[in-house]
Amino acid sequence: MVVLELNEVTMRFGGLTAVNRVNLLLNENEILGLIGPNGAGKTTIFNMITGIYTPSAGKILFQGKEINGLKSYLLTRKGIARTFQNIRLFGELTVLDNVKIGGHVRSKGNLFGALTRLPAMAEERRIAEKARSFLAFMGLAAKEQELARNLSYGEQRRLEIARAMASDPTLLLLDEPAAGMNPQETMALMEMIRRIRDKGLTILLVEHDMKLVMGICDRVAVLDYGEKIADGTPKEIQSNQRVIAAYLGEAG
Amino acid sequence: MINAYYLQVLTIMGINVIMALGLNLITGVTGQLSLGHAAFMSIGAYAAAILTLNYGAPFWLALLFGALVAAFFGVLLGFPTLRLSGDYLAIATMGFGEITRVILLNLDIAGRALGISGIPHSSNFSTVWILAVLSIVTMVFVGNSRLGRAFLAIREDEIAAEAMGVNSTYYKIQAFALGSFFAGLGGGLYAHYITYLNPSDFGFMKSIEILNMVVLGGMGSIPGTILGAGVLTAVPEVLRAVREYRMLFYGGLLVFMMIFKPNGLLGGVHFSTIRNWLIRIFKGSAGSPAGGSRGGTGAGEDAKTRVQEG
Amino acid sequence: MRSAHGKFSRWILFLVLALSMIGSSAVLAAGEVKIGFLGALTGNVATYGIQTLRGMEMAADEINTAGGVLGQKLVIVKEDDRGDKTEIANVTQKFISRDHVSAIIGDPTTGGTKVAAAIAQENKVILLSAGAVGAGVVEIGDFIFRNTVIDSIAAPAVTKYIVEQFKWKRIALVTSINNDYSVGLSRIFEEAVKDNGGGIMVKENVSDGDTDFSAQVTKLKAAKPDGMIFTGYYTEGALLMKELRKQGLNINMVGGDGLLSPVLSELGGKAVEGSMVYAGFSPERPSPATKKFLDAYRAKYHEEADMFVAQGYDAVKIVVAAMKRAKSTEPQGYRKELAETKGFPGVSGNTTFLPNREPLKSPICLLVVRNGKFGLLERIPVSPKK
Repeated sequence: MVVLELNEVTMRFGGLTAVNRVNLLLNENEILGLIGPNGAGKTTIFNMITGIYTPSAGKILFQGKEINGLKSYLLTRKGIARTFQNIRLFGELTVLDNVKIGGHVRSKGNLFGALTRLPAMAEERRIAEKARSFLAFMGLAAKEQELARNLSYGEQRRLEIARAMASDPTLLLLDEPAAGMNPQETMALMEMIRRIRDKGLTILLVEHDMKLVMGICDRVAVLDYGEKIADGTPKEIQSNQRVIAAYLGEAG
Repeated sequence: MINAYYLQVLTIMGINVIMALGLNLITGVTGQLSLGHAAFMSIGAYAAAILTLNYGAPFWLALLFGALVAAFFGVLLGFPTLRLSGDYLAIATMGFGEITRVILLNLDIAGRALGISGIPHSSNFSTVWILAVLSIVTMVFVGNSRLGRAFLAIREDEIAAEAMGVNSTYYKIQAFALGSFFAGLGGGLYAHYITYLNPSDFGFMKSIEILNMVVLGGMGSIPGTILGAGVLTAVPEVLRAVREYRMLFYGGLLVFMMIFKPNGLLGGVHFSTIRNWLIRIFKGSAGSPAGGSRGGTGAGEDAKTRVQEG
Repeated sequence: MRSAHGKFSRWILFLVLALSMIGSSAVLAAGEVKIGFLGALTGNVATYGIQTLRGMEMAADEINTAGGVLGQKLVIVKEDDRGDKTEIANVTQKFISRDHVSAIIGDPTTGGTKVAAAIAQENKVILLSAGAVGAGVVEIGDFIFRNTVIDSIAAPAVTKYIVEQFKWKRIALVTSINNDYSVGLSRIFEEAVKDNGGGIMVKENVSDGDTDFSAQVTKLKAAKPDGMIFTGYYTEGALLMKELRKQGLNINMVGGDGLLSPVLSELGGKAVEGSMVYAGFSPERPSPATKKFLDAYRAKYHEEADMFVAQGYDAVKIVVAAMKRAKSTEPQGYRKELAETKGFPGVSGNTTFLPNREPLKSPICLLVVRNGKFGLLERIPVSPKK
C-alpha cells in the first residue's frame, strides 16, 4: 500500500524552481532516504509534505488523499509526524510534558474536562502512561522530570522523535536526525529507527550521514538541482553514475 | 477581629490575584504579551455594574455576566489580532485598551465621563477570596490538563506546537477568552467594592500594574502570580511609612527585582515544586511525580530547584 | 486530599499575619483629635492635593496655637492617594479604622470623593470635600459634605448679575455637546436666564476638539445677542471668541470655571479681553480676615494662595467650629451641628449648608480677563433660592 505519493510536485519561488516535477512513492512500513547535495531541494520537499509550503504544481497524496497546503496541525491529525532539523523542543517544559503534548491529537480534553477533573483524571493517567512508554522506547525514561533544554544534544534529538511518535503517526518524517551526533550515538539511532519501523511505521528520512542512510534505508531517492536523479536500493544508488557525478561535482 | 483597613487591603489583593491570574494565563502561560488587560477588567466592571444598577440583577449573576461579556470581547479581539505575534500583538492589545476607554467615555449607559456611581457595595472579603481560591484552583486544573499543555506548547515554540497538532489560533483565542473572563470577574468585584467607576481608572497604567504583578511574581507561575499580586497590592500601603518617597521605593523595588531576579520572585516555581520542597524538608526525600493532590501551602522560600510539573 | 479552600486558607492566614505585624503600631494617642487629609500629593492631580493640604495645615497650626479643639491637640493625618481609586479607598479605610479620625477632608476631585464618601458614609465618619464640584456627591449620605462653589448655585447668581447689571436681555447660549460638564452647566444657565427675565435668543452646539466655529458664529450673529454664555472649556472658548471678533460680533462671553485657565488668554489674545468667568475665590480686594490669611500664607510659602488653599483652610475651620458647638469630636456627635453651619465666615467666602448638605457659598467671585490676566470684577452675594 502506498502511504505517501508525490505526483509531479513543483515548487517555485519567484523565478527560481526549487523543486521540479518530482515523483516519489513511499510504501507502507518502508524507510525511504531522501538525499542530495546542499540546495538540491530536500528541505523544500520536506516543507511541502509538512504543510509549510504549498506546492506550485502537482499533488501530494497521503493515503490516497490530497494534502496540498494543509496546515501542519491538520496533517498531524491525519497521521503525519515530524522532527525538526534545528531541534524545536518545548525547552522550559519537562521531558514528560514534551511527549504528552506530542499526544495532543490522540487525546481528549477541553476546558470543561480540565475543570471537572474526574473524567479528565483517567484520561490524564492514560496520556502519562503512553508518554512514559515512548520515553522508555527512546531510552529517556530516567530523564522524564528534567527540563527539555537541560538534555544533551543526542538526548534532545531522541526526545524529538519520542514526541513525534506520541502522536501515533502512520508516517514519520525525520529531518536530519543524526545531525550533530557522534558515531556511537548514530549507531544507536539507527537501531532505534529500525525498531520504530518494526512497530509498523513508515519513515521518510532526510539525511546527510551516508552511513546512516545506506545502513537502514530500504530505498533511497536522490535529488539534484530540484530534480530526482535516482531512486532505488542503497546498493543501486551507490553504483549510480549520475549520483556519483552529482556528489563529486559538489565536492569539486 | 481584624482591622477593617487590613481586611480591605486583603480584599483588594484578592481582586488583583484574580485579574493577575487571568493575565498570567495569556502572557505567562500562553506567551502572548497583552498590554490591554485593564480593558477587559473595565468591560467586566461596567457590565456587572450596569446589570445590578439598571436591571436590579443579583450580585452573583452580574459578576458572571460581566466575566462572560469580558470573555466575549476577548474572543472578539482574538480573531483579528492573534495572527499577530510579539510586539505587534502587544501594540494591538494596547490599542484595544485605549479604544475601550474612549468608548466608555462616550457611552451613555456607562455614564460617559461622569462614570457610574452608587454601585451596591456587594463585594467583601469572603466573596472575593472564595472566588480567588476558585480561580486559583481553576488555573491549577487548567495548567495540568491537555488544554494547559497546549497553551504552554504555544508559548515555548508555536511552530513545533502546530507540528504536534495544536491549532495555535484556536488555543490562543481560548487563552484570551479565559484570561479575559478572569479580568472581567475581577472587574465586577472591583466595581461592587469601590462602588464608583470612571473610564480614567482603566487606562494603560492599570494594564501595566497588573502586568507588573505577573512579571514580579514570575511569568507562568501560579504561586508566583499570587505572590506578585499580593506584594504589589501591599507594598504601596506598607510604604506609607516613608511618606513622599513611597513611589520612589515602589519603583525602585521593581527595578531592583528585574535586575537581580529577572525571572520573578517565583519564576518556574509551581505548586508541585513547593510541595516537593515541603516533602523534602519534612521527610528528607523527594516527592512523587505527577498525579494525586497538587498545591502545597507555603511561600517565601527561594526557588533554587526548578522542577517543573505542569 | 484536602479541599482547595483548606489549602489556601493557610496562605491567607500567613498574609494576614504578615500585614498585621507591619502595621500594628497604630494606637490612638490620648488627647488628640485627628482629621485626615485625603488627596493626591504625587501624580497628575497633585497640585490640588498639595494646595489643599497646605491650607489645612495652616488652619490646624492656628487652632493649636489658640488652644486646640476642646482642649485636645488637632492633628492632620496626611496620606497620598495618587488620585488612584483603589488607593483612595485604602486611605479612607485606613483613616477610619486605623487612625480613628474625627473627619476626613478630601478628595479634591469629584470621582475620588465619591469613592471615599461611600466608605465614610458606611462607617458614619464625616467626609468634607474641599474640591469636588460635580454632581452626585452629597447624595451619598448624611455624613457627606462639601465646601466648594457648585455650578447649581453659582451659575444662577452670575446670571442674575449679568441680566441686571449688564442688561443682557438677548442671550446666546453655546454648549460643547460632547462635554458632560458643558451640557449640565448649560441646563442650569438656561433655567437661570428664564428665571431672571432674560431670553435665550439662540442656542448653538460645538464639540470639544473643534477648531472651526464659523458656521455657529454666523448664526449667533444673525440673532443679535447682547452677550454669550459658553459652558465649555477654555480652548474652545478662546477659539470661539476669535471667530466672534473675526466676524465683527462685539459681545462678551461668560462661563464657568471650565474657562478658568491661563490658556484662555494665551490662545484667545485680544479676543478674550472682557470675557468673564466665575470662581470661588479671588485674592484681590480681600476682607481683613482674608488678608491676614493671604499674608500668612505668603510668608510661609512665598507664593499667592489659591482657591484650593483657601477651601482647605476653611474646611478645617468649619469642621472644628461644629465640634466646638457640639462639644464633641465624635462624627455622630457633631454631625448635626455641622449640617446646621450658617454663614460661616471663611477666607474663601461665607458657607451655609443647605438642608441637602450642599454648600451655599457667598460671595461668588466674577473674574474678568484684563490684559491677559484674570482680575476680580465683582463679588456677587448669594442667598438661598426661594
